[in-house]
Order: sequence, then C-alpha cells, then structure tokens
Amino acid sequence: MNGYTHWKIQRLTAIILLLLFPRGMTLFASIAGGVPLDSSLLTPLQSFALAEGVQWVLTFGILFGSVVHIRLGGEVILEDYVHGEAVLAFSLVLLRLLSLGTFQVLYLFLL
Amino acid sequence: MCQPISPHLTVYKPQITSTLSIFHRATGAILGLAVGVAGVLLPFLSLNLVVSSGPTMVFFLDGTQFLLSHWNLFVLLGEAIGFTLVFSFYYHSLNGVRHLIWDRNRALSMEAVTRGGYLVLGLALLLSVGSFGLLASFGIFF
Repeated sequence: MNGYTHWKIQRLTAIILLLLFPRGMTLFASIAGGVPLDSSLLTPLQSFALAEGVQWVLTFGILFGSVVHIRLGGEVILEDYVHGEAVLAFSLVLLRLLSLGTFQVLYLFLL
Repeated sequence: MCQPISPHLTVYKPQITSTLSIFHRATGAILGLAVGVAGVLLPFLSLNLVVSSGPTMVFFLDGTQFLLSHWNLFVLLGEAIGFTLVFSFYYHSLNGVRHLIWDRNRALSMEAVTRGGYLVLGLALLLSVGSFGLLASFGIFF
C-alpha cells in the first residue's frame, strides 16, 4: 500500500469512527466497564437506531473501522521505531495477523 | 540500516505541539492494546461461565474478590486503568478531529494549533472526569 492510500484509508476509517461515535461509546462501556448493552445507562446512546439490522451494521462498522484504523496506526509506529528489515517485516506480519484475529473474535462475540 | 530513531525525541525541547502529538500516538497505542486485550479476554470470559463451578475457578474468583475487597492498591490500579482508557478514548477522538481539520488546511497557524491543543486537552479531561463519575455512579470501575 502506498503512502497516499495509507493516509486516505486512515482518514476514511477515522471519519467512519467519528460518525459511529455513539455506538462506539456503547461498545466501549460494554467491554471496558462491563455494562450490559441493554443497560439503561446506554439507552440514550442507542435510541437513535433501534432496528436490529441497523444495530448490526453500526456495530460491524465500528469493529471493522477500529481494527483497520488500529492496524494502520500500528504500522506507522512500527515503521518509525522498529529498525532492521527482518524484524520490521516480522512485526508487520504479526500486526496483520493479530488485527485479523482480534476482528474475528470481536465479530464472533459481539455480533 | 542503523537509521536514527524517528522522531528525534531527545533533541527537542518539549512543546505543547510535540507533547500532544506524542499523547496522540500513546493514546492510540493504549486503545489499540485495549481492543487487542478485549479480543483475548472475551473468549476466556465466556469460558468462565462454563468452568466457574470447578474448584480452581472458584478459588481464582475468591482470590480476586479478596484482593478487590482487601487490597486498596489493587482497586486503585483498576481505577487508574479505567480512567486511562476513558481519557485515551476522548483525547484520541478529539485530537483526531483536530487532525481532520488540519487536513482541510484550516487552523494551521501556531496560535490556532496551540489554542486547539489546550482546548482538546481540557475537553478530554472534562469529559473523562464526567464519564468516569457517571460510570462510577453505576458501580463500574469501583
């Protein structure tokens, strides 16, 4: 992936995550704080979209957007701070595999 | 090979701009790690439901309960991690908006960048304290 495409996708996923901010907050509170998704605490954040299909699309968008955004950000950090071609190549492959694994697990358990 | 580490953190005098840029990376890394940890923990948390009746898991849960109720440092650590996560979430999101504004070639003067930096930092702290208080009132993180 060239630098411009990298930059463009990083921005695109950032915009997707911003648009899905309320849904992101519900998921964050649910995972980090252990708040059930149907908790009254989260109701105001979810009331804008109650249909199940819409909720699925929003959650999928947040998961996919987050994992891609994190992977791209991680690549930048690795490229800046990891030196040595072999170590860098290994780190980048590991990051991709971890991103894929994390997405699959979160998809299975949250959707 | 043997390239200098980028950016050259040690030769710069800390400024609000560079400090907040480092914060943006650091909070991004924290959130990335948190998502990764969630990916690792979710299957185990689900497994706990199945094996929690076994003696080992009961012992483990009792031990955790004991630490939570008797060791204040452990509770404080949990709260610190919780607040760090909440702050990272708000800071990275708000500073991300600042980056998107810069990409539109807006607010790029030194004065605007500095003012925006303090604004983002203040807002993130304010929202974090508010959210943390709200979560605490529901007994979460405490």
